[in-house]
Amino acid sequence: MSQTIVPPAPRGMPSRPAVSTGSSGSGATRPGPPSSRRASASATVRHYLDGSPGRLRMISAMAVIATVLAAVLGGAALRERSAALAEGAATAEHLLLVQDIQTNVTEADAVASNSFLRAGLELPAQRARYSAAIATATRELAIAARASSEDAQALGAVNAALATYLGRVESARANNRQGLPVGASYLATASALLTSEVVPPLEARAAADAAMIDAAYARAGNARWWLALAALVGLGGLVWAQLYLVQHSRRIVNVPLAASTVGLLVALVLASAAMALAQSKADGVRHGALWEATDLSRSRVAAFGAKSVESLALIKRGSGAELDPAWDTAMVTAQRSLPPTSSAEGELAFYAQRHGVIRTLDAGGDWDRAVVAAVSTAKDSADGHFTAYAERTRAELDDRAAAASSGLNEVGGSLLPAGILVVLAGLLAAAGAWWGISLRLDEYR
Amino acid sequence: MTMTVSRSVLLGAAVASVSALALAGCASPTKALSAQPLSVGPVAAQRAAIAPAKPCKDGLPPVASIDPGNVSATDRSTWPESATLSKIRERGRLLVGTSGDVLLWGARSPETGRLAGYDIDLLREVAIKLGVDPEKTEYRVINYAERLPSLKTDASRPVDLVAHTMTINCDRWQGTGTAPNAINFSSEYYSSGQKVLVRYNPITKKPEQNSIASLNGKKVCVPKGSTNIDNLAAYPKVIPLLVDDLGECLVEFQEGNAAAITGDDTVLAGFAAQDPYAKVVGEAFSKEPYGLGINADDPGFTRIVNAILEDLRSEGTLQALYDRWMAKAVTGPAPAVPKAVYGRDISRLGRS
Repeated sequence: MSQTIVPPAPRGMPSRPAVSTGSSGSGATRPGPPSSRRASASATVRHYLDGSPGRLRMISAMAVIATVLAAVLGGAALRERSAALAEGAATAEHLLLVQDIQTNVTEADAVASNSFLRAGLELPAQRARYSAAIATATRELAIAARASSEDAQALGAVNAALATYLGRVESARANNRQGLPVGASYLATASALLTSEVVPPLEARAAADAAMIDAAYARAGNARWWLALAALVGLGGLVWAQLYLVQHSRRIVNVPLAASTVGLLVALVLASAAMALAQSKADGVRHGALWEATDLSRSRVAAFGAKSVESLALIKRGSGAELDPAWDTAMVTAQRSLPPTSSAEGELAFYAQRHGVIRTLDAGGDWDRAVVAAVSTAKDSADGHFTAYAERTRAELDDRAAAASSGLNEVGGSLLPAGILVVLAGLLAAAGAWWGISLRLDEYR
Repeated sequence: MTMTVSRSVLLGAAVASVSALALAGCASPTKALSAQPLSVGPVAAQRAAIAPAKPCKDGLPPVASIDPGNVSATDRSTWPESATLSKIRERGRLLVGTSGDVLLWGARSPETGRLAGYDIDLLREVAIKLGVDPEKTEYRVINYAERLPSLKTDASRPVDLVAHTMTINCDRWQGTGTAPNAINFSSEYYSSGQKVLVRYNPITKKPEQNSIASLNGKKVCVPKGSTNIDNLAAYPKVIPLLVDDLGECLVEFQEGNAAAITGDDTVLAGFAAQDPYAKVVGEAFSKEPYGLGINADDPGFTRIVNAILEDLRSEGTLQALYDRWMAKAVTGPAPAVPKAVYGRDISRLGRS
């Protein structure tokens, strides 16, 4: 439509430059030979920048560019910190998820091996605990695998190994119910599979998450230099413009310029405070709740491992002493990883002491009493204290994980408003600079 | 995925080590097998593979025990002085060390919770002949490492006898090598040896293979670091599948990763008892003579036990024990009950 209806060209104006080439017209954009056109344009610019008004126009342009640049840089700095903190928070969620998978599979193994000692008389509650732990682990695996292609690959392999593990545990159980010793071999190979092919890839993913979190917080920290640069450019440009005006006029204060400077300064101070606050809050959560959750997870994984070893040692009937070093190593990790704020340390120590009694009985040839001691669910038994430890650490872990997760997700909240404030302040300052200098320019007319 | 990789790596290492063993066998004058012409049949090869055990420091084979001489199991007036016997009489019952997890030999029955097996039944017969109530026998389940120390006079919890699928060898007689202390052995009561467990069709009653020689190119499960691997050296075409523990072999076998398992026939029979689709086949290609363990300083009690075993041999009790516990798991005719070998004088063993 618009192509077909060509409005008549205004009188005196060429409809297109090509038609009027060579003809002389009265328009300001009168085309001419390229060299003369350039010459006339540069003459206009030279005239525009000539003398004091010209210099003022230059100063005005520089001040506007500096403040706009400050607005862009400041906004970008806040956006960068906000994005990095958000990435850190998301990765922390993933880390907690991967660690939860680890604790769930090791808990399932500890329960399966302990109830194996009861053979066909396994407690329904134990079976339910095993099933629940496996159900949680497989559900979380599916969620965690979606995070990245590396996660999909590693956790896919974990899922495959876990499927084999589950098959072997069921074979162990079925054979055990019939009193066939091969059940013990199925259980031992299942447990070995868990330690060789399920836990290490999960640990590797957790370590990768931890490294990513560190990198995200380092990036968030670097954003402060962008804000500093914004301040240098924006405030520097405005101050320089005012100094120039002071030198070249009798007026000390140019109100719009001064107001722009103060406004931008206030906005930058507020943004910097918001950034520092967010970073320090994030660091607080990271070094507080997140680290505690990680330590609790590590302690639980090691402790469940120790509990599995305890049962496997008894299932080995008389040759269990060879597993003692594995139990010792796991227990040291479980105890050392426990954060000082945990209330489960005493229960873990009680469990270790009761475990010693079981080992003494087994080493002394009293296998039957050792098994009775190991499968007892009485409050003061090894399992009783272990369960108390497991429940306390579970509650603490849930609490810390929730605190870490909500804490890290909240810290970035004030950063985007602060970013918008800096951008607006920068643009207002640009307008103020332009206005302030144009007031001076008017004095030349 | 990684399982397959690590397994094939293991296999490669195993093949390498087995071929190294085969080479060592060539060089060794005692193992003439590898140098024999290929026309030798598998059975002959198996027999040739069993080198006679090296004699102990007294020049006698390991299976030689103390001659009961004029000691008669039925005439207690002929029984010599024995500290162990005095303790048994004083106590009124036998105190023995056995295994608790070797199926068919000494394992707790899941139904009754009581120990059952060849070794347990043998101890029952010995108790009767010793004149103590077999129902009162106190069984102490001990592990492999405890078998020798629990026979020491100053042991923290000493036992009168150890019946624990224990191989008679010179180190144990002498208290040398890996043996923590010396013990006496009774005469041989069962001749165990390395065999193979293969897949078996219970309907056609046919095993898939008949011997180790027919497993060429097939994977045979064997535990790492066991003497059973050394005995495979004579069968270089058999592919060993190495595992940490013999028990894992049954898992690999049932999961289809191994065509067969090799180990002592007693353990294999225990596997066969757990799997109706498995049988122990072929002749033994190693020799593991089993004996009862007795205190090293009690030759008198050793003579009495040997006299009792003589009776159990001639009465057909040992044969009956084989039929009861082992026959079902093994194909082919029952092996002959080993004859007793005597002539040992423990003062010539050079014990320290």
